[in-house]
Amino acid sequence: MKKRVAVTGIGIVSPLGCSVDTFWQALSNGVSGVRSISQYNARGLPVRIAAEVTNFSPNGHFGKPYAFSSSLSMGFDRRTKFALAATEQALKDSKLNKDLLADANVYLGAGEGPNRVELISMLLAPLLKEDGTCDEPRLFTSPAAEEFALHDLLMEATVPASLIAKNYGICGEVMTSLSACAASSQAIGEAMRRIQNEECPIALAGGTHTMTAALDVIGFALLSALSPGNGDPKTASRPFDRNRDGFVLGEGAGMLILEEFEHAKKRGARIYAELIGYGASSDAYRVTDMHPDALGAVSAIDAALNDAAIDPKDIGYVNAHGTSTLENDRSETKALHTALGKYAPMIPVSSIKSMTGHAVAAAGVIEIIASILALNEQVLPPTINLETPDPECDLDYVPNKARATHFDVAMSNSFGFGGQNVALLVRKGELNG
Amino acid sequence: MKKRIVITGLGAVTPVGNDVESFWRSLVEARSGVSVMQAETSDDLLPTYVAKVKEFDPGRIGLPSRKLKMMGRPAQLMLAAAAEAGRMAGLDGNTNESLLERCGIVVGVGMLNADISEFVRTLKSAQNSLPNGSDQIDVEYFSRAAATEMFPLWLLRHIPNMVAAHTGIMLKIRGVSNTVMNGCASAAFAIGESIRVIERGEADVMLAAGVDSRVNSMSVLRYIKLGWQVEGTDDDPATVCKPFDRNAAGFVSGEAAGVLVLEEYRHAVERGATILAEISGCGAGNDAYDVFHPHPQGRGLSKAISNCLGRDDQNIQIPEAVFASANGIQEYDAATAQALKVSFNAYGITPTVTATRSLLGHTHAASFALDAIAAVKALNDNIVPPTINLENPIDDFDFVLDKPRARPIPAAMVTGYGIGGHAGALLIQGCEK
Repeated sequence: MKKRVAVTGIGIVSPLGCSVDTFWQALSNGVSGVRSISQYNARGLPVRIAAEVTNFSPNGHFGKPYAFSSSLSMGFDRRTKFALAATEQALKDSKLNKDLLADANVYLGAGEGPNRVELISMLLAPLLKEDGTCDEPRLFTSPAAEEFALHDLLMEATVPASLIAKNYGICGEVMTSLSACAASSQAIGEAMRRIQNEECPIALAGGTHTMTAALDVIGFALLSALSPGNGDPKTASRPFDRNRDGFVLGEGAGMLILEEFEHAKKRGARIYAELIGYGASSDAYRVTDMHPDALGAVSAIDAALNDAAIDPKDIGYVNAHGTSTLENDRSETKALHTALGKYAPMIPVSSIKSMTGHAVAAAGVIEIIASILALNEQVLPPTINLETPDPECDLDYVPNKARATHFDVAMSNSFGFGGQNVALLVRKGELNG
Repeated sequence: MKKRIVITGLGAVTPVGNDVESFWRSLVEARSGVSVMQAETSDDLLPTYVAKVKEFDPGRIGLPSRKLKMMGRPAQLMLAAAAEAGRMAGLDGNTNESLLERCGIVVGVGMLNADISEFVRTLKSAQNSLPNGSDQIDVEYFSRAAATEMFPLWLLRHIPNMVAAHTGIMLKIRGVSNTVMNGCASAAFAIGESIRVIERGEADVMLAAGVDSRVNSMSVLRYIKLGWQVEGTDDDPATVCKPFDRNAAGFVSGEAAGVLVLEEYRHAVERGATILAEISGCGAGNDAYDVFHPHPQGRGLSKAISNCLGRDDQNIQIPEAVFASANGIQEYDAATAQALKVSFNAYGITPTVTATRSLLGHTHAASFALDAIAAVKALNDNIVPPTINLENPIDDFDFVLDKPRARPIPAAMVTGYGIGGHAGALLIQGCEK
């Protein structure tokens, strides 16, 4: 008999705010977090907007640099600090006794840290030769080499998760997965399975990423995937709108404390919600495009419904992957029609990426948090900037204004670049307060 | 009732051979894959050693060059290894649709480091555009140049999950796809994830793999500056990597791909697959210590081994051979030795120990997969490949020195341990029908 999985703590760092309350306030008021890039000089970039985290002030603990040796130390990058802050928030929120964490599992969907192009330039530019090659032997004596070395090491995807293990004395399994835009949803699904199968009673599951650095923007802009952001930045991310022109990069972190249901009940924990379904699949189609009939997405949704043993009619809200690209908006709409059948037109669907931008590896956790808060508040966050509906996107996308409703189950979709698809199902908690 | 998991296919592209048979023959014959490092853009020699895959022709994958161009080196190595594993397991060509639906993939990967050549044009163009009197390329000048000079599909080569995505597309597999980034032990976790997916009934067949390529100057530079990599050019390359030796001077960074096809036992029997070995235990742990220094007692590895062997004294599997994750960094080798010693004492066992990294260099995220493949071959051939360069052992294990040792091996253990404090252990045995 599978164990039930409760969500008993939430932590979030997002472009809409760095606490659950500020995040929800902004979401339910339809506030956009997209702005002109302010973390660095973006004047040379083809795209100069992003959804940056702005009001983030890590406390002293997270601000401390990492000392690799007595002579070499460096501060952690944004995504690592985001993850540490979200974890601390979630653990406080859960009121868990930290002694219980030794056998917990950690499962993060985390991206690599941001590249620093100034550092790459400092290292390589002096070595360039006229013939287009590079004086590589001199690389090893470059004055910038040590700083580059530690910076590069601290960029490793595993850094946030293993620091969390260190900070809270977690000796259980600690995992980082990076299935692109589906990463943190997959992390949450896999952590849920570990509790269901009694591998651990408690798991920390979530994700972190910052994809707003110059090299990230250049990489995605070269793929023509980004909205050029020519008008008001706040209107750039417009999922399901006919005038969409690409997605907007974002950043952030989210963390959930997952707990075996009885374990949570026994200690009188606040149970935000229950994770009841997880389905994953891959398209095996093309790395850059979704399957035109969205077969992979449909099979992930089907698997999640089967897993939860519920019917499409039980779903009261779908938090869409909704990236604001023509291809995603249309194939996700098609997938929902196929998977939910005659109920699809009746189930409200919204994309909070219209407000948060696309936090890539962290997108899934930020969106399941939005879904859980929606269940708790019985309010659906809107899809903003939806002014001229795309005629091929014919579902109820909760346009522009939040909506009060009554519902018990939400689904959150995440479709990764490369063809990984994940659907999660979450039910309202039984014990609130 | 837990499902039995067997191994039905292997694939390898390594510094000592580009398929499983030549890899295994080189290990048994103690042929080193280490050579002096050569610059990427010229004929210059660099002051260190690497373990590169030699004479690898990406054309053997059978894909058009425009497709190969959008793949990084790790994806190319992986596709070649996965094709071999797929052939061995009978997953190529006319595999039926229902099997492909029930087949998934988990790949352990490392950071997909950029090549210098990918930046040279951008930096040169940025340099030429700088105003007079300025020689520092800042973000703005870099960005402007990059937007026109970088390869448009550049990003696709560096997104870690593209390795799994390309492989899934090549083999047309549509089950769960995941990408694990747990440093040097990544492949251990990829195998652990794959086992779980089969045990949960979510797939019948899983490709569990590890791949990494850290042999370009940018990636090797960081290891040199952190004191982890052997330096020099004057020694016989075969002698420089000395895992478990008192005089070890670091690892030799390498590249490889290793793939294991895992399958539910009944499924394998029913479709008449060749069963190479059975997995009888798998465990993980974390140091909860420092991200880039091991716990002095090897706490995470001890935990992984005890999780792998289980605590039920009646049913304990005794490994006759251990493929140890020592790589030549003294502090990691010492912690590994401590963990092995404590575990062997606790279980009252004295297995034969070997460290293939003396021959293979450190293939990082691929390393555990290569050891797992070697362990399968060892079980089948009843032979343990040797450790070379071990003159002054740091511990008194029953090491296999210089020459292979023939002995019956009913069961073998593979250990993985490295950055992030991540550790994994796998126990495999011959399959009783």
